[in-house]
Amino acid sequence: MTAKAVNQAKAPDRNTPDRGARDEAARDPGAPDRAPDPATALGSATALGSETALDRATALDRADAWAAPVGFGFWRALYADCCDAILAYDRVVATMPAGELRERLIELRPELPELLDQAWTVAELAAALFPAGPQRDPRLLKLLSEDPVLDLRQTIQDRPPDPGLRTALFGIREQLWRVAEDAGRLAWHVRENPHATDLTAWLRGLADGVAAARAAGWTPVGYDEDERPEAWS
Amino acid sequence: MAHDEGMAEHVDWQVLIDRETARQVAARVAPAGVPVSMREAADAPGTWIGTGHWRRHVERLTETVERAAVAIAQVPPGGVRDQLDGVMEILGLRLQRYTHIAEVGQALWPDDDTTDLDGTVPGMAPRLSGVAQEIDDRLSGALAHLTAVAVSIEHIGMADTGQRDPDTVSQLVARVLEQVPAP
Repeated sequence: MTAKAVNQAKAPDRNTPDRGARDEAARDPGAPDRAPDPATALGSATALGSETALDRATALDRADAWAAPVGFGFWRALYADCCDAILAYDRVVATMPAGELRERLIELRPELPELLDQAWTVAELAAALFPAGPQRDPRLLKLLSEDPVLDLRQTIQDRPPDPGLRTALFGIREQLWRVAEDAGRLAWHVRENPHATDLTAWLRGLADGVAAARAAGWTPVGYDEDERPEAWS
Repeated sequence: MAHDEGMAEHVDWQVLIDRETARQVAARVAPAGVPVSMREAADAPGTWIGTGHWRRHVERLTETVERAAVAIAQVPPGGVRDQLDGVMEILGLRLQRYTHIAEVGQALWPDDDTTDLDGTVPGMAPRLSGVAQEIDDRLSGALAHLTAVAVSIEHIGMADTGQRDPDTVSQLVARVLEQVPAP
């Protein structure tokens, strides 16, 4: 099974209140350990946080997943999912036709980075206290596996640390995705046509009409080409 | 100066490696593939209807409308053909509408066959939920609707040209359209 298939098998429950699937995936201890070469990862935490000097407000507005200093793995992926909600919102709004509804959604957009700001703070705190989630961080896995006495990877707990911070971040992500979902629903329904022609009734009537015409001895096979009205040509 | 340039190059390379590492870890942690905000531009979501699941929806819908167009083209000029030409115009508008809806699906839950980072192999349908799932159901319903309409048009055309018994066709069309969801 490929990594993608593994990911696919874990139901992405991004949009429903029950996001258990993502939680399960995050704490799944049985996931194959295909961590990248830790040698390249060791000592690189500063590089991931190297953009934190950028204006935080700008990074939040752009939903830049790399700007927050949240290390590898669990916390970054979770924070990035929060950023994804804002990017999805932007893409959804871009699909909408010009009009009052679209303008209103554009007006609401500046409020989203404030929510993302909370996610940044929580994720940063969590990453500082529990760097990347020990069971996911290739740097820690490498260090633990190199212990001369015992492979200490076996001793780490099988669930992400600190449920409080994790739950808080899940909650913010939930809120952000709810906004994106609502925008998506609006963009969808604005394309629907409540006055759509009842095509099925039309075709049903047409089929009945052909049968009735046949029964009456009149054949609607067609006009004689020579008698075809000018308007048809 | 050259030394500074070398340093800058080194730092960029290091960041690149770290991001790739973070992406690989995220691919394991995040069930729906690598988050869009962590991808490089080459793996960013495709625009409009994308290159994956939502495009396939539109392609199937387009094929069905084309099937109806072929059936109508075989009906000789006359009252029935007039009516079917009107139906065809509506089908064209309806296809436009469904394409816009597919575009919203791609915006909300992008799926592309041009990247491996979205959690699906090319040709594989993503496991959707929420509004994306509702849109998916909507488009599946639309395909059922258009298919029933295309089948009905084919039979009406055959009845019109005397290839099939009109009474039988009338019953068949009623039966086919009975199963059809709202457009």
